[in-house]
Amino acid sequence: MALDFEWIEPESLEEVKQALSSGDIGTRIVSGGTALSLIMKQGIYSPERLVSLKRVKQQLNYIKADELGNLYIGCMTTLRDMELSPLVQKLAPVIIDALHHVANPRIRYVASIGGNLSHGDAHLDLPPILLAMGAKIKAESTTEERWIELKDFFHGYYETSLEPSEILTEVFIPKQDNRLIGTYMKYTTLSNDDWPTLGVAAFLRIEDGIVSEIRLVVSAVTDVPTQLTEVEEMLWGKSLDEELIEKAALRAYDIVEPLEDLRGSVWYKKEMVKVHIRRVLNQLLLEA
Amino acid sequence: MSALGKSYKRIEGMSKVTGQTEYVMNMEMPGMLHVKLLRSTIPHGLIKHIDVSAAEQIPGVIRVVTGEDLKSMDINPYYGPAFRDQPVLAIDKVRYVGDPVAAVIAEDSKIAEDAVNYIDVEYKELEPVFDVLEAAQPGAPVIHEVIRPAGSFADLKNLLPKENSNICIHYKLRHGDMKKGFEQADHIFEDTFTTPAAVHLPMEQHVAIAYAEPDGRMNIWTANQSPSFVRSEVAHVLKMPESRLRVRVPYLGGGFGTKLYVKIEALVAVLALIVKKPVKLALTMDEVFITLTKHGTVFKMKTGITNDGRIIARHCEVYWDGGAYADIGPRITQKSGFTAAGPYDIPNVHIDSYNVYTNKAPAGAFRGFGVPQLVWAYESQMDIIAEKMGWDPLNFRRKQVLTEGKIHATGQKIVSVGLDKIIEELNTSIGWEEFFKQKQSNGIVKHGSKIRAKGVAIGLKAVLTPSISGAIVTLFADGSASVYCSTVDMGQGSDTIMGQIAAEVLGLPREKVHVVHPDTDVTPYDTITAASRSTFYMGNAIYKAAEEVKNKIFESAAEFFDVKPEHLALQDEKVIVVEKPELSMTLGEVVKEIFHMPAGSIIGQNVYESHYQSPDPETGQSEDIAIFWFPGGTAVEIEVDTETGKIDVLQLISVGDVGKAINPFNVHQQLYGASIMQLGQALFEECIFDYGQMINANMADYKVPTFKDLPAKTETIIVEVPHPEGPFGAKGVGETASFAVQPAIANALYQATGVRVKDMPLTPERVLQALKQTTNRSESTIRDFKEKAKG
Repeated sequence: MALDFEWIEPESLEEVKQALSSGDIGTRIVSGGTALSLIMKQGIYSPERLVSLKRVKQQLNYIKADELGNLYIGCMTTLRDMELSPLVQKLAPVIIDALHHVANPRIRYVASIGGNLSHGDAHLDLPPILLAMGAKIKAESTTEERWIELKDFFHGYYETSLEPSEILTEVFIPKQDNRLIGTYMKYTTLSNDDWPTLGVAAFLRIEDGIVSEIRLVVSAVTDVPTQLTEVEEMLWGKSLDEELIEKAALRAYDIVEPLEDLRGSVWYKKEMVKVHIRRVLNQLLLEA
Repeated sequence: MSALGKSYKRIEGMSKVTGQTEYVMNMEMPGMLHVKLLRSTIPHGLIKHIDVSAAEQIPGVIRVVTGEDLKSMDINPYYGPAFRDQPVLAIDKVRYVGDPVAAVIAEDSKIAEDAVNYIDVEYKELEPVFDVLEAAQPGAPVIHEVIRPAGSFADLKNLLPKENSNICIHYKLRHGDMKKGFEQADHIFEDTFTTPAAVHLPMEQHVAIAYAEPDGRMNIWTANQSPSFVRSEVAHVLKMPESRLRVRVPYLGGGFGTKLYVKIEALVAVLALIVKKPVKLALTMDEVFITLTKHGTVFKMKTGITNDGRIIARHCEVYWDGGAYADIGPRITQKSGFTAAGPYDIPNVHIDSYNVYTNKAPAGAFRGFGVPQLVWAYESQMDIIAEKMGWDPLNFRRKQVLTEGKIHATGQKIVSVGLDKIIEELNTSIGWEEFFKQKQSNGIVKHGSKIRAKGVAIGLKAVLTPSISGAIVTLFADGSASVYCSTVDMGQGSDTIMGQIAAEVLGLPREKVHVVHPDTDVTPYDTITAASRSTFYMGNAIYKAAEEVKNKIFESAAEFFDVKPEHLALQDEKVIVVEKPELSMTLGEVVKEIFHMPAGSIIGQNVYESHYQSPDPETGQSEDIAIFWFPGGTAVEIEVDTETGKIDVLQLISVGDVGKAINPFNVHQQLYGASIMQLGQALFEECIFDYGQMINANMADYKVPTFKDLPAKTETIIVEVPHPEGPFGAKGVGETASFAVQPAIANALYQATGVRVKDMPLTPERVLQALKQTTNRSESTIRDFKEKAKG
């Protein structure tokens, strides 16, 4: 671990933005630090300057909803805060179910939603769910404030569309249709608390026996969470049955191009995509 | 008041959970310097040049030491328990990615860590060899040109290395007539089983502090399982009398074999001599991965059976992947090697067991000491045979399991080995008979993609023999006592049990006995804390030392009461005349009687030494090869998901014959811990190498079981077949539940799916692949199955 980095603790969000304003990639934000400390230990990243959000946590730690049921979550909200939030439970229960199985409580007490997304790690559980829910994030710098759709946010391993001068301050989760049922399936091949080998987030609405809405996102097998639009298109407007589900699973098998790593070969990950797309759809069909 | 058979709580429990226990990791000394290591980035090569000048210029860096510096010192720079093949720092050559090349000594560890990056090393790469079978071939790149037998242990003297070969040991066992045996066989089964390298991962890393007194007398504090060996081996390295070297070991945060023999102690001692200040080296967890691994193995097993269900001949060829340095591999190759044919009464047995150097991280002792790798093979094959022959696998085992008085393949008569009882415990606890009947009549029921089934396996280990344990027991004038022994309490609870044994003999409450931690200036020699040997060996030494104290007490009291010593007993901290209990004196009164003042100590001592007959080097035969044998067995129920290949262990039952459970709760904990440790290795633990580099050498990528991975139901069952020579009949237990977990799971998978996986671990991917290959085949559900008809 490089030692000669500077550690600063700004007192306000404005100061945080100032600290980032040079756009220097050697300057990074620390929120919970659970992911950053790991890549620093492994020598993947050696910062010159770390900007701690410790002193601005108060103002960036919130979960709010507007009268329409849209959720706004401050970037310093911990995963544990979200897991225990009645608002999230009411408006986005899939997130709660998923969070029970993210790492362990010790990690969830410090890891923040802002860090979780900014990290750009394809093996995390929240990105595919939020992507499937049509979430967007607010990026702020000294000069600009902009909203980025999550589907445009992830670029590759540890790469996002955030500029080095920007901080992710808020996550916006739009109100989900009440008739939409969703789930997140996490599959690990090593220990239970490991990062997923595959994550599948799915939301489905069936009206009069016909699929009127479907969103399918896989993660961990690819370098960014991937929405399976081709598979979704196969299902729109159709009557979901075993045969169609099987076709969808096979289509997913064909189009997903996984990367081999310690948690599985390309062959195995493709198989798991097939199996879990089938399982996810069967489960949602049962609940619908 | 008896202390025996009582589940005393760990005496150190409260101090550990409140963070007050002393560990070397937390120890500081005034003026102490810190060390970080530069490690080889190539698997095999010559060191052409090392430039340390830039690193030495960094403020706070005191000195950078390399193999070149060692050459100019008057020391023996190589160490090791079997062969002295491991240099204190690489000398001219590196043999694996991670081999220590240079040591930076600095004022703090962060400066040292940073300075490591400024050392420039130029290598000439040599052709490496990674595969154990390739490395064993003639013509493979030779990793050690010179081999230096250490001669430190009596049991290793017969094992002579081959020159110009990576096979550093070839152990042979010849029992009966192999040719005749196979001729008499009705069927012959041949299978190859493999296991990968894995790691121990104690919570506390390897850590040591060395400090040379002004007159050169060396002090070492270390997290090590073998203080006596550290003293003798580092004395050899420093060319110092053992009396000039003092090794102290407090509590360990786990050992499991990775902290045995010399690991970093020789290096810190040499560095302390160079800088004349205290130096501390604490490895990082990532370094722990590449310091020592469990041997990967390839086991080729050929078994002849008769139609009436007997194993008539078995040929075992085992290759142990030793990595770059032999460490204790030669002993594993021999001592576990001779159990390779399994705990069965087989008239004709051949074993060839090879310890082979490769350009990977060195392998050594790992809880079970090679036995789990062997049980993996022989217990998998037991089920392969039973299935093919249409026999109940448990009955097949019953038919030949070694029972009291039978002769083991080594030639030793089996005494106090409750294998038959273990089999019956496994049968009833998992409900094997009903399961197997049900399966025979109705087949296996599939629920969706999931199938449940049960599996069983047993194993047997011989304790390290010969070996020595010395103990001193001192009774103080107030009637309390101390036990001085070099057994390391590394989490197994030895302090609690050793104190219990002394308390039992002296009739004292457990709380009145203190166990002194290993300090080679104070506590007598003990071979090692490993091999499930301490309760037996050290327990005996303490028992006998305490008896000596008791005899001295009785001698004096007998005179006082004018009775014979045999009429006395120790009870409630008093000596009483058995026939007339009203005649009694306190222990303090006895001391006063002996010394004529209320002071002084009554001292008993004992050096317990095993009897042993060295095996014949050509046949491996010996009538007395192990002072005791200890068996264990595992039964599981699993649920396998046939679409993902993932195995969920629903029930894990461990049964161990411990002779006598001195502290039953502690024994249950040992059985439980060993089985859970194996569970991870059975299902997903494995060191992955890329061109010799361990690429998952960190806890983010190498996962171990967490609470959520534990089986829904776990059970530990104690069997007690007392050993005539054990203290109160006790044998060992630390490794017992490690033996049979892996094959039990593989056998259950076989019952569930007809799929036989012969390579560890049983990862979902490996299982799914096997499932797909099997369903693609029309008939046989057994892969690599060969059968020879008689005649």
